[in-house]
Amino acid sequence: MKRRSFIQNSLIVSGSLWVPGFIKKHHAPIASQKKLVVIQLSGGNDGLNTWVPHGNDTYYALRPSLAVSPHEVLKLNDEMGLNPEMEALRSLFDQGYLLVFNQVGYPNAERSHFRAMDIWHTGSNADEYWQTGWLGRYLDSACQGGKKIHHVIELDDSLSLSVKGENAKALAMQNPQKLYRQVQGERVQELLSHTPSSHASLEYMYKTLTQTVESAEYVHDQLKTKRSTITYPATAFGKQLRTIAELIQAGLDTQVYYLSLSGFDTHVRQGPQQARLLKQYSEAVVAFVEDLSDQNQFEDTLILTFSEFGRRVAQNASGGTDHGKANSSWLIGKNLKQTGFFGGSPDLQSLDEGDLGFKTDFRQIYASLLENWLEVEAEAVLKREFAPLPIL
Amino acid sequence: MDTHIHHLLSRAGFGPSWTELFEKKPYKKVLQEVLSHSKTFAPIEMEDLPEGSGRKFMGMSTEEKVQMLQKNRKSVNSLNLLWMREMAHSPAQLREKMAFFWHDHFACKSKIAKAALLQVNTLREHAIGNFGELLHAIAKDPSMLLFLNNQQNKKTSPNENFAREVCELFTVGRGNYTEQDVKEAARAFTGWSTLPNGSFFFRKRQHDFGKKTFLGRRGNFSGEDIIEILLEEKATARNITRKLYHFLVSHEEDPVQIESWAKGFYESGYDISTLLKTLFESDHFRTSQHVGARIKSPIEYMVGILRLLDIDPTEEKGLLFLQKALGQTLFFPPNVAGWPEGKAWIDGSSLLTRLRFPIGLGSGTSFSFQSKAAFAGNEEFLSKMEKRKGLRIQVDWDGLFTQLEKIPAENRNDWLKERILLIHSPAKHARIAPLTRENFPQAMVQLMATLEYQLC
Repeated sequence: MKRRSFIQNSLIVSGSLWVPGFIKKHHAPIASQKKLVVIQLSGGNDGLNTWVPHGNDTYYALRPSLAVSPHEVLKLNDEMGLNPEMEALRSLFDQGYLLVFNQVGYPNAERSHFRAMDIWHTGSNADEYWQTGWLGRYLDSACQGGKKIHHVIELDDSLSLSVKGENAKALAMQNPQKLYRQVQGERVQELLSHTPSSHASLEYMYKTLTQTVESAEYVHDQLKTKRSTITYPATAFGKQLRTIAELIQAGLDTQVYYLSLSGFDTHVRQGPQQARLLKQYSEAVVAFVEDLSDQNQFEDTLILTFSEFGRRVAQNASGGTDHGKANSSWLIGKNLKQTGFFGGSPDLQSLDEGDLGFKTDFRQIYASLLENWLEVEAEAVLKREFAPLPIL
Repeated sequence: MDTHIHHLLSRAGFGPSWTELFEKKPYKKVLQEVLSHSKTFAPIEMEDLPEGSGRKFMGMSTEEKVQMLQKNRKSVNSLNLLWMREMAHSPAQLREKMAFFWHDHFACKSKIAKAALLQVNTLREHAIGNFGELLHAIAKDPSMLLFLNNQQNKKTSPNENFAREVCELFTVGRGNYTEQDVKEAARAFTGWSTLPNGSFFFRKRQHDFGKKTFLGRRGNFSGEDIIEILLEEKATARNITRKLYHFLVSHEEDPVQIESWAKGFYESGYDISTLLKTLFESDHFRTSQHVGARIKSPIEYMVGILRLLDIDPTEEKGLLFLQKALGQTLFFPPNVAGWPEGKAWIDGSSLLTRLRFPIGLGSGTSFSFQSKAAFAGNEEFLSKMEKRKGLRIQVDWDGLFTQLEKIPAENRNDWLKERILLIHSPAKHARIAPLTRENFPQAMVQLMATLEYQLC
């Protein structure tokens, strides 16, 4: 399909020929302009040295040389503070743009990176093995309602399980120009001129390729006009957030952006390693929020940051921490109904095998985002009922 | 080689070799060879593998452990490529294909090279033998016991993980046992453990010798007894046959056919070769709707190319990154349930990568791609890994072309197309004729960098 007919088709769809069942009745499919940005910190970020319980003696007792010292921590209140490397993020906290959940998890937590990440990606229970991601299933429904696969974009060359649905999988791209060059290659264009034989798997592959090419062309063309003027840190992560800001400013028909920052598996000499990563994270995110604010887009954008598990409360013998259970996750947004720390500071008294226990199921956060931000029925996407939290 | 033979070689192995394209044999004869070539078994051998478990490991500092794990990672990577070579070039195609099936069925992550080698040889040894023997062997496999936490399964504090997967994934499947059965089976497996040298060890003092009730039977069952009881259940034969049907025939199940083959499998005392012979001899297998019905998994796709173009993978470390980029790394299934199948392999980025790989082979240029950053590992390791991966493989196009010379130049393109693709879609591009030594790689790219080539 050529670009022109693709755009025509999009117009027909956005003209609300039909409203899919999963979208709440009082909202037309294109009503929500809301954007969700999901940031995955891979490797198991140590939440306790990110959002620091500086008022807690147990924290200092269990981390004699690894704790963020009371005179270094950026105190946010009597109990909690911020890692000093995240200075940049403090202004967002002070303006009431942050909501931190200290003990997010699920029953029977997993300590394996891959298994834990799978659970966060799919939204399954610890004893289930699902093959589609929560945002993938959201995309499945959106595509049934006429959306294109670039409704969800992952800033990478390949896709995470979280954004793979049964029939629709998100658009993966490190940057729009590179993907555009790939799909403009002679070989891909030639394949699109084939008429696939009637064959279920083959038709699926032709459909996937066609959608990828169309979406790559659409994103590339939209982006031509907009360049960001804000300075971002010159890291891969900073560039990705800059690309997202540009795509949002270009008015792209995309609601979910997904990206990752890796290296948080800090078993050895955690201090300097985590510090570098947290600094990288917060400086890029703050530039991103500033960029969005300048374009009046911040109030329609919400940022979720998560990691597959937290780390042991006690430090190990190598100046690092081993795999733990519950962890902190946080939301950044302009009109949060609650701000600061959801449910107070972490409970370090009643530990679960030396780890933080969970108080908030991560799927309750997903349910809140789905119901009250993306405005779809959470239960249909999560495959079971989780009560949304009163946060959005 | 006609379409049915191509179909057989794609399912009973990793597709035709270049030489096999030129052979003209009846189906019966090819099937007979497929079965007989797989009769022999030779273990993969590796020397000087690093230590990876046991007392010495426990006494190490975290830094030493990290180093040891990295050494092991390197060795598991070498083993990965060695196994790929067996898959691609061993005459025992059916054995390697079935070992790959069992690697998915008995999904297990192996980080310790010695244990990984032991396991893959166990799978390869029993791949087309007796399922009962395979099950007994894998249940005592060190990697598996470690992966499913049976080290922690003790009389005083049973760990049900191993027992649960044995019931749910390895044998009867969900719905054919109760939670109580899992608890009782876990008791029977208490004390099943491994020694630092990587062999199975039964820790008597941790074993629960008491009476157990399992699937309606009662007795002082041992772990071996539990496995025998599970083999007595027809549900086990049904579950394995159903899974094999997906792997060898189609993702669309035919319950009547599966039931009939499962019955035979059960009555043969779980003889895998008998089941395979029945399956491949059947008209059902050769029905046109099953030809080219499956989407190749990344390993099937990659190994198929290595085999067809006679490429030795052992020096091509880039293939490991290609496995990762396409979503299937040997010795690294996503979880105990194994890999997904069919459409799950295909998204825009994986499809573009599958199209680019043959283009790189055709032009002899470096094919670069990025795979996802690892979750585990320190910063230095990750920064090394994050570098752009290049994969450049030199194919001996001249050597391959020599065999093609006997086909008239005008017909070569069509001749190849019929033998390399199982499903054909009308293409608009001009067919390459005459096909010469010079344009031969380009013609092959036109056949392999297609969506039809993703089917087997």
